[in-house]
Amino acid sequence: MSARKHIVLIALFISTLAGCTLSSAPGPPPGRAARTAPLPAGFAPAADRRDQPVDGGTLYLSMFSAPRGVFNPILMEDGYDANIVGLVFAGLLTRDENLDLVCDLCESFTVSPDFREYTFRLRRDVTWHDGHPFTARDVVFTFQTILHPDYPGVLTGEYAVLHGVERMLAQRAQVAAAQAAGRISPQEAAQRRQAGWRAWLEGDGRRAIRAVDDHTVVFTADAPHAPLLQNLAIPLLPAHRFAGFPVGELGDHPDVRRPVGTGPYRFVRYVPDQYVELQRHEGYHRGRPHVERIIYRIANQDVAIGQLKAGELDYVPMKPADVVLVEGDPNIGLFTRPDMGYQYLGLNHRNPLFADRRVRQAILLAIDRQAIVKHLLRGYGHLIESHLPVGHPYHDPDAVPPRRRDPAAAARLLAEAGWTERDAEGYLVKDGRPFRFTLLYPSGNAVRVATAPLIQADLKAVGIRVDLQMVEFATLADMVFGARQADAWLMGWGVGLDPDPGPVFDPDSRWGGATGWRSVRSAALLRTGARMLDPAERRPVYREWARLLAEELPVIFLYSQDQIEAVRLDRVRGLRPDARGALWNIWELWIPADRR
Amino acid sequence: MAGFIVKRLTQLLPMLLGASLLVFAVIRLAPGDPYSGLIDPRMDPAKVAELRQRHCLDCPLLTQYWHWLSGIVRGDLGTSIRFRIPVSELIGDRLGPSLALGVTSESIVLLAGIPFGILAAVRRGTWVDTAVTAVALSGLAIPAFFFGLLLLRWLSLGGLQILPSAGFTTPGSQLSGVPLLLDAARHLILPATALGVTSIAGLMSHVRSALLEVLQQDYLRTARAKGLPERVVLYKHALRNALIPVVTLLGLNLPGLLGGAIITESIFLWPGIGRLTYTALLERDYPVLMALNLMFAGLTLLGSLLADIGYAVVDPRVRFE
Repeated sequence: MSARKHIVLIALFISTLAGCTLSSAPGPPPGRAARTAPLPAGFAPAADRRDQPVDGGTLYLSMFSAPRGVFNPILMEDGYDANIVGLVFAGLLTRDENLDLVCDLCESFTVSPDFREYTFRLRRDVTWHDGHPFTARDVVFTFQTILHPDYPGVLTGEYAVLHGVERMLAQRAQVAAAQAAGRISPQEAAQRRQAGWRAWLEGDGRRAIRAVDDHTVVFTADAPHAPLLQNLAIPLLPAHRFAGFPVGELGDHPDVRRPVGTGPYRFVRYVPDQYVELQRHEGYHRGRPHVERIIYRIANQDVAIGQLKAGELDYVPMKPADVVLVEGDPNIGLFTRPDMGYQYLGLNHRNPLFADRRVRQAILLAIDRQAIVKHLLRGYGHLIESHLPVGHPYHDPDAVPPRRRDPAAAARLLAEAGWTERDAEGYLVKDGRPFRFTLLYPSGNAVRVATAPLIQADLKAVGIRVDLQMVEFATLADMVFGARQADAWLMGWGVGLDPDPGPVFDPDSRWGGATGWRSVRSAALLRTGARMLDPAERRPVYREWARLLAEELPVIFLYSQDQIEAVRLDRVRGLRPDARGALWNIWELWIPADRR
Repeated sequence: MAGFIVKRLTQLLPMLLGASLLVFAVIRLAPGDPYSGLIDPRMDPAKVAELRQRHCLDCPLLTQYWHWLSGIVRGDLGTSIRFRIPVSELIGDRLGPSLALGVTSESIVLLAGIPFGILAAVRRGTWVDTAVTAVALSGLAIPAFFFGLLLLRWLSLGGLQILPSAGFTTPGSQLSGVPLLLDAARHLILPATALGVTSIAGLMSHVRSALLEVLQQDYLRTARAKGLPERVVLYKHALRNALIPVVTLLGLNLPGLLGGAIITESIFLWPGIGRLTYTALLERDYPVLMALNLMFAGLTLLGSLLADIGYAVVDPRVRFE
């Protein structure tokens, strides 16, 4: 080739590299505020309060995946639908800055001394987006729909503790079994379910959910059950819009696509895969929102940061690795808070390798979890030692102090458990069988995917051989919780604000059955804890339970990743970020007139 | 010719049927179903089992296939399990944008690829040839998503900011008619360019090599000897023969027009069929997947038929019995 052609080619090559930037290895930013402080350094809320809120403007929020369009609180199955439902609907209760349940649509609520009766006095100044007033009828309707035999959603079991519901659900299970066995026809089965439902409505149901008058509702439970209060807080549906509609076809009701609620913003339109448009609800009971319109855009995770910097978006949920891209910008504020969830390494206790507690503890001590938090999460995360992550109201840091990596102790524990010999490659052997298993991990979460080879290397250092296999998420979920074929897997849990874990550690359930870990003491502690409602009484129980989990290790608890939110401070005023996030007070936010 | 077309069209139906059966079997072979990804512990397993039963997910496979087939024959594509709306609505919403993207990017490929190919062939061995080939190949070498991000960087965010960064229309706007078309066209520029530029090289090299082969033929020497201007020799005689493989290529590209742009659609938030396919696949949304696969199979068969017809039209030597 001639020299000229060389130059042309090289010039082209260089010009294409123009888009790449060399990034220096990111480290923790200097002078970063303490992990628990929610406000970034330099954020001065006092300065905002001097300015007066101005009316109008459009706020541009973003999410990374398109909602399905099932904008109904009792039918939705998606976190992205939930984003919209959170703005359009409101429930009896909401969370305050300490994450305790407080009134939203109610004026007050009381719990009877035996913890079985919950009385809610409703606010009188709440209207639905179509102008209709909110009354007790809406509350009764919402919960009765969930308990209806034809209800096409999945929340029924949450309310089993209400008066007579357990019995009704048992009857339905019997009918389902009879139908499956062919003893009765589908029509007969449907008839029996309807009969059971009507019997409950006219009998126990009157006590279970009772509208004393237009603005008072009383719930009665068969036994004290703390998680019930959290479950009563779900967003409520308008009875007048769904009246007469067959419950079995609830998903086909037009209001599912174009919801009407009592939240601060009312639904205008959803352009599929593009954005959701919301308009302020003039009669919102906590105050007329200042921002007139919200456009909730669906954004691509890689492009969203560029859009934030260019001002096309006002709010972007961030990944730890991207924080360095917006750190220097004075117009962009970063708000961090601990996540109510964690990642873990699940183990199948039916596999004889993992049956011994000492082996599980050895595995925990062998893995360098600090390195994962420090390097993969860039410090935006925490170690966890039990099911209650840092930031959870019932998390007790003194219950189980975080354990550091200790390969020597791990080796010692393994030796105690009988793993003393090694084979030619250096891996542990016992009775001719090597310590070898397959770790399955799902695609989709970049940090989690990156931890798999790290875990493999850490365990190799103590002589355990791990084969990695990346699987697509739905397939993995089926293998772990359905077919129970997995020996070890990486997965995460979201944790509700009530410390009761539900069926997660119940070996007879689909979820607890994946590990097969059975502990009489854990079940007893959980039963005790769920029956109390007073936090002061419950804390010691869950502290004990956390210690038990850390000792027994049904799964290897790994880390929890902080939630990081980036907001354009020059466009969004009135922020009061706390444990609920940066935009929890969305009806109080406003946009300065010169930044429209 | 007409008889040939009719014969091919009648063959279309059994081939589609066979394709649908194969696709159905393969999709169901994948472990899991639409509900296996829902691992929220709040979910009542009894209710999930009921939902599974409602959609007949545990019925024998042939029964499920029969349900689907009888629906298709009636024109009912079914209801998406995860989106809970009719599949026809789901796909219909996305057909327009996908078609716009596909046609525009394909036009870019044609409008640039053919002239580049001609130029490179006619000026073979000179710097023009090298330059054109180099540009086209670098377009091919750059992955579409990277080129898309580069375009965003230069022309949209952070750069000149003259073009919108994502989406089909401006969010929150309520245009209709001509302003809507203009808005959509403005949003179309970047994704179509990203998709098109990376595919130019393929067509260009096809045209170049086909033309080079034809340019050596004796009948062209005769045409020149007759005194015809070079322009006529090239466009009337040589090109027509050189474009035969191009026509075949275009016909086979037909399904790609609609569904091949998953990554570009993801970057530019283009509401197209590609992303729908990917989402439906991850969530095992069987009705959507079957409908989409049926559509692609039909388009492929139609495309190859059109390619064969085009072949016959362009090349008079081809005869069909």
